[in-house]
Amino acid sequence: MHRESRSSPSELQLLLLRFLLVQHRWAVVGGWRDEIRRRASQRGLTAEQRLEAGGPRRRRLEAGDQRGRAATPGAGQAHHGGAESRTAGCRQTGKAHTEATKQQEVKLPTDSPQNQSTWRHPRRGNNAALPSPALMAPPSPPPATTLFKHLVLLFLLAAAAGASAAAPEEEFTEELLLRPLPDRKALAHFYFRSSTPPAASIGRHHHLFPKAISQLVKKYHISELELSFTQGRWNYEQWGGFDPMSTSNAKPPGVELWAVFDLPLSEIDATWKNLTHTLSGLFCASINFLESSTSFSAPRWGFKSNEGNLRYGALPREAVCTENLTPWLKLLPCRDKAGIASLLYRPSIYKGYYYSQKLKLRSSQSLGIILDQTLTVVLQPNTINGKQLHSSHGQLQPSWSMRHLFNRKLSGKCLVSKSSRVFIEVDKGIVDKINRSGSDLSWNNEFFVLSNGPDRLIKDLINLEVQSSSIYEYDVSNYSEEKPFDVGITWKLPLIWSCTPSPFHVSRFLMGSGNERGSIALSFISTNLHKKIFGSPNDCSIKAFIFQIVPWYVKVYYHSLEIFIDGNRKTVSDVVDKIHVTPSEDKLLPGTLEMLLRFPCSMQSATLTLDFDKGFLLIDEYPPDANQGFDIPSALISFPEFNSARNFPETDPLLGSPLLENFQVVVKSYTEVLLVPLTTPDFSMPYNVITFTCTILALYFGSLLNALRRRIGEEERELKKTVVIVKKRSLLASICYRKFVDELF
Amino acid sequence: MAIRYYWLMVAAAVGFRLVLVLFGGDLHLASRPEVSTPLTSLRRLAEGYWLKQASMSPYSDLVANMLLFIADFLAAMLIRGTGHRLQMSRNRSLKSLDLTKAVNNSGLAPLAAFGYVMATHLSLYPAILIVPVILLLGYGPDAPPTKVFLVKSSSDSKSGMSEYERTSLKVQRFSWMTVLHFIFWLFIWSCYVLLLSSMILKKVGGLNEMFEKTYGFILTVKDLSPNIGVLWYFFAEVFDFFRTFFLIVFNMNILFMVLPLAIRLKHRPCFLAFVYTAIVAMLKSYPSAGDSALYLGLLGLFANELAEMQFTFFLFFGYIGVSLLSPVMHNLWIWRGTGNANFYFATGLAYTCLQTVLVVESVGSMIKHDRKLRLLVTS
Repeated sequence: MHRESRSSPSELQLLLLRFLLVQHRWAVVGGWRDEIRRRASQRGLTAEQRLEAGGPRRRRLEAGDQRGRAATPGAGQAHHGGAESRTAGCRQTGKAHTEATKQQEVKLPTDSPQNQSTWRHPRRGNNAALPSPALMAPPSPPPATTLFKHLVLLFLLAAAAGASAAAPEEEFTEELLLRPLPDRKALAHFYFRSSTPPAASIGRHHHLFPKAISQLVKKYHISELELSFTQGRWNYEQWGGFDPMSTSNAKPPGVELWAVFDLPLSEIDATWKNLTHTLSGLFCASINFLESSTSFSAPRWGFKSNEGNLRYGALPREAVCTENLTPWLKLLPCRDKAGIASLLYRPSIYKGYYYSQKLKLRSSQSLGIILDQTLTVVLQPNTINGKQLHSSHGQLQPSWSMRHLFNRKLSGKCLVSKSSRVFIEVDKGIVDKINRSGSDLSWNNEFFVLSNGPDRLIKDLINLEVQSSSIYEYDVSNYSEEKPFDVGITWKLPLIWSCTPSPFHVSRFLMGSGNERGSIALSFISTNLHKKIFGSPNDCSIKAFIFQIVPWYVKVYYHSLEIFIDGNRKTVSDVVDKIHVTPSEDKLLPGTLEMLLRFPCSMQSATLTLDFDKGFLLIDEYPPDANQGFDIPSALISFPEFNSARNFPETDPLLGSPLLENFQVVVKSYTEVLLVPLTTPDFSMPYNVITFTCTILALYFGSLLNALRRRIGEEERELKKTVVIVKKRSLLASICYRKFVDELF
Repeated sequence: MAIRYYWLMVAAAVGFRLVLVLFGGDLHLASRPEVSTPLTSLRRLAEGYWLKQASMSPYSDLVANMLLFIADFLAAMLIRGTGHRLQMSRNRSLKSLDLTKAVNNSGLAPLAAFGYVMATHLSLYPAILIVPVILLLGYGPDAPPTKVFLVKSSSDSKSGMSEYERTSLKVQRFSWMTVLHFIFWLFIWSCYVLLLSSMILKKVGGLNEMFEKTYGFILTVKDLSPNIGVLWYFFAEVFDFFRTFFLIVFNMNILFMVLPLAIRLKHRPCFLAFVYTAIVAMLKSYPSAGDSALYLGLLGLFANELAEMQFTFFLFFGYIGVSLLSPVMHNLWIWRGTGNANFYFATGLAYTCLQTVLVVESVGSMIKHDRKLRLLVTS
């Protein structure tokens, strides 16, 4: 057995063991209970006897559990807060208990056969091994229960030891990056990574990894998925457009979802629809609106190159709030009860300027599933002296600390996390100034001072890369409830700096007036970044991908594409390298535009325009606030030649840092969401329109048929009458009237 | 009868067209709802052509389709240099006139069949014109009713007219051979057109998609952009569960009157064609001013017969009033945002009313005219 072979399990393993025990306590007891009930019913025991048989055993296990919880306070409370309340209920009847266990569905797959076999051979199991001291049972228990408990503990120990020795484990890391921004704001970027090894080695059961996600991945065969909820717009000019933080975490307002499926192409659309419904339920958002074929598209290369198995959809008007955050937090092992996530105090984070919560999944046979949850907020720090300074010129930047940003202090890490760290990043602009001033980059320098001394200073390598910030690292595991962690920055000298922009500032706007037609314009304004990076060769060119989805009621005429470079009109083929258009179909497909442009380096500005006609919708298709207008989702511009990769050679090689290693992305930026007003019909008119139109139709039908049907005899009589009228003028008026009536009907 | 100042008027008309072509840019005539419908929009044609060049399915953009491309190409060949405004309508009118004139002159059944097939292929509604075409081929051009001839011939035989006069007045028999000839060619031409279309569209969707996206688009009124008719607003407002019912009703309404009119006016195929085009222009899903231009142009052919038509004053000024008010209402609603869809719809309603009165009145007075002829003959 494994237990004997491993003479001294390390402290980490012991901790894990305890955790495992806590995790599976009720599963195990449930398993017992089932077993006992089965056996008891075979032996003809009454329900009361059965309950008594189970009673002392459970109480003892609880004692052991209490000890385990004392050792791991944060984890126990946060993760199993629910279990405790269940315990109280379960004490009442065995039946309720088993039900609760079933609901939780955390039974070990190999649990019951093992139990059964040990039940059949009690002697052999009894002298196998002693339980560990922490889990030691109180003296003089009834022999059968002791035996059983020991066996289970033994099994658990063996399983845990085996798992720690062989297969890779499920891991969880939590990180937070704080960064002062040039416009007196502060950026906070939370990063949580949960990973689980490939399914074969671990079965259906998970310790840390959220089960909902793994089920989702397995059911829909997702190989990649990203879902973001964003409120507010990323300010590319002030907050940076080149560094990895902005390129991977600046997201379009509302909800954006894309997924790559590992499925035959014919099944993907149906799977996507199911996926949207599942996510909608999981995140309490109307993602299911992406189900309709008018709202998602299958980009080929403009968004991300793929073999037709990618689907992309966006809901620009989706409001994001706490009801989306809570389910997102539920996926974390400690939720927001402990660890870095406990900083997410709702009133603080939702009053920020930008809020984006993202969930990214990667799954493969070799990697298992990696779930990255990030939350990016831009906050206005409550300055320590209480007054807000608005002009940045010649004034000190606001000093802030975590407590000021979030109204919370960090009391230790989430205990199940592998690493828990906080970074403070200072921009290249600041680093340059510090270097220029001659002082060193310590945490207490000429310009600012950090409230705590960092555990490590990570410098970005400057070779070839533009951005070279430096990062101060803090390990949260050194702090606890008694000694909460709070780090802040206090400025000593006024400092003005700017973030590195993306190669082009891209903005999108509407042109034209009236409700019949208009144009969409995309404007690129060069920031001359390429000169800083590549020097300034004159004959070079910069590539840019454009990806844009347009709803069907904005009927874009792609042949009307016009390109102006520095104000001069260019032929399309001069600038467009590659273009792929999926034209929209009324009420069926949105239009998708993918373009690869090649701009000359000397270019300062470029504008692309596309004409469109506004569609007219059915009265039922208008949203309740029809006069507000309709949103066109953001376009995505990416610059494949600019890679915002950064190297952090001083990162801890043992632990690694998902947050920092993730800093490897192509530079891209999203444009604004466009608001297109559409003409509305009169919403109160249906009955009138139906009656008017039908009246006219009836008039036409009736009178024409009448004209055709009029018989000859009738007409002759009428003619005679006319002759009579000529003679008898006194009757003229009445005849005229009759004739008029005849004509009319 | 020679018309006075004929060439002067022709020159004025051509001049007006030229003015529109040369200085009409500011009027945005190509996108006015009065002249451009989803089926005839030049912009959509250009988009379809662009997509075709990029080897994507032209039908993806619902209305910009190959058929339109062919149509516009033909139109351009026929009336090169006359600009955008009445291209489609003139194209159609030329076709229809070709159709009738060709038959009138020499009984060229193949050409008539070709004209018919092309017209139907392009816009579906000319399909009902098969009735007047067959009648025209069978009975020859418009004439007073057969009864009149019978009465005349009997009275003539009494009075003892010369043999020559009697043959000229002989009642025309239905010439089956010409009609069969026409139907034969009709069959050949439609097969030919369908074959060509399927060859062109083989790579991008085939014939099924073509039927679905062209005729289906016409019949189901999918595009709800405003035009001078009433159906766009009706189908934008109508409750969804009634939509199918009303689609059937409106489309059937065109067909309802085909048979009664054909029975009553079988001796006047050209007039029958005029009535049919007027009804189609009134009830079609995407009407434009071009459709009215066609039947109003044809109306002139029956100036003598319809001389006693009533309400002509009302109709004339009604047409003028609607054509002045409709752009104003459209502008107020779409461009200025001060009006509302109902105002524009009201002009459409008035326009449909006028057309109804015109059709009913012309049919009524034509029948009256025939009666008068008979009375004149008998008396």
